[in-house]
Amino acid sequence: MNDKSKTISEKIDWFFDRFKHIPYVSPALAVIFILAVVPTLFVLLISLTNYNLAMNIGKLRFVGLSHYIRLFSGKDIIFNYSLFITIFISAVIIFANLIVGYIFALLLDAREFRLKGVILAGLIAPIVVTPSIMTQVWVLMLNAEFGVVNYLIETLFGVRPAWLSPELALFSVSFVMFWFATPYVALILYAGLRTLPTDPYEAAEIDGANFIQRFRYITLPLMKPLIILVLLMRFIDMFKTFEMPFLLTSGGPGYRTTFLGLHLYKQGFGVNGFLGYSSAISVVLILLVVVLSMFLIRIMRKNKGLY
Amino acid sequence: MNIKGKKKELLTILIFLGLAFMFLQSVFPFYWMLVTSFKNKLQVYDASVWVFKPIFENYVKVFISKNFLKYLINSTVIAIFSVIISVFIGGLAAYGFARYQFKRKELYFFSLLALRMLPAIAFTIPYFIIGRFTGVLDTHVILIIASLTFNLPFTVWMMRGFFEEIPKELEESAKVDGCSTLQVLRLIVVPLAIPGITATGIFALIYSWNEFVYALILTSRDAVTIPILSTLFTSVAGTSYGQLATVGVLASTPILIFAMFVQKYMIRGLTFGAVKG
Repeated sequence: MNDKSKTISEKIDWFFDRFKHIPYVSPALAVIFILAVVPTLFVLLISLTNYNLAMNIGKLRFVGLSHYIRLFSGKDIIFNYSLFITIFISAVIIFANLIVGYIFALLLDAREFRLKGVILAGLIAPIVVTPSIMTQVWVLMLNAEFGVVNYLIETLFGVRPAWLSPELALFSVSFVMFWFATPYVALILYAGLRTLPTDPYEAAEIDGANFIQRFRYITLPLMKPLIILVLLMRFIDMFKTFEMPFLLTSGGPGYRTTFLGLHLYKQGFGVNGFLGYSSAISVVLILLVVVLSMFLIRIMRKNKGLY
Repeated sequence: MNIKGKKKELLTILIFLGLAFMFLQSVFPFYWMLVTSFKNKLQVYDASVWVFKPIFENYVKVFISKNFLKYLINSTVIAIFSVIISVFIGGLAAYGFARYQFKRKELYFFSLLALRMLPAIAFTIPYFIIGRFTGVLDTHVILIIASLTFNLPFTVWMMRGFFEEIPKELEESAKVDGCSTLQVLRLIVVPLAIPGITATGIFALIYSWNEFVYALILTSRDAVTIPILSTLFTSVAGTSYGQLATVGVLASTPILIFAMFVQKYMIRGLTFGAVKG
């Protein structure tokens, strides 16, 4: 039988057998390379130029590392501030997420009952529904004059805080981010709690260990990989923060809620249109996320198939 | 015994109170959105109105004066193409990762995760500039392409686990019986992986549907999606929250229904298959 008498199906078969994994894996890897690695290199290149949104392309000049020097010399106060809140406010939010998420997970794990599916569905809603839309609902609810949050607070305590005022804006934005992420943390920790073995707890009961001891010496060590996984995933998520401050406060008042992504956006696509400078911020952001991803990958490889 | 029994009863009550609080804080914004969508112009600005006669004015307005259908079509077209492309190409790759051993396999696999994690906002500049010079800015095409940056690595990650759960022996015995590689895929692998493929597809659909950053920067008029539409209700006259809430209800209902279908796989989807749940 020569090649010409083979049907197309046989040819494809021969091809797939001959090259093993390559026909399966290479299309996806090629597409991802083009869509992610090439833009990364491109943004790196742009960050070394004076490219501007309104600029004639003929005026494009190579400016070397001057954008980076400006970023790290402390001249861009908003950059310093946004980097600070993106790291430290995120850490606070994530810590709160873990505490409250763990309490929620314990509540879910404590008893078996028929309506648990409904409770879980309620928790899933904030995770899956379009964040930009829910953020807008929060804008309505947090309105100082006609928001339902202040209606309830005034009824109970007789005060009407201005949630998006200079003093409270960062807290309010953080709270909304906290609200979005807590169910996510709770669900994952709940899944972890459910896979814990029962033997150590039975042994602990015989030894008379109390609640805190059981948590400290059994639950925490067993859950540690999962907790670190959630922690890193949340941190990566926080570095991507955009919708919530953008829609709640557009980074204001002043620059109080300007997270890193928002600073990048304002520099590149705001009034200035400094795409070159904005690209340099992109590179910093990409590097931060890559470093965090490396840690995440290490944790995941070490604990493969644990849960 | 009696004291211990009472203590346990009290604990149970506390647990259910806690669960009730957890549920309420989670769903209240959705309830408020639904209620707001049925309020009239004045009631929207009055949080003390909890019981009222629902009106459908907002729904009519959203479809007629805001042309909701156009945005719905944009979002749907982009999501469907994104899902089809990523499930097909990503599924193939996931199968390759699940079934074959090759050099630096895990390195490639984990690099995909790192790419999935990259912040969209940092990619908007190259996409914007490339889009500007190729003329695809404000089209479905550029948003479909941009959505592959997160959906394609996601599908590879998610589906590898589903393929690994299919016993290898089934495929081997089918080959012994004379099935070709394609027949094995079509007759054995795909039918067995259908629940996993569906779940992955639904997750990819949700991710694409909710995408905000790329849509904000890469569209301006023709290809605007629903998440961006939700930002267009603010004018000098204030924000029309009634219509905004209506768009919210219309956009989130399909997502909530889809999410309920994949509830079983929720943990898996949220952790890219890392936690089987």
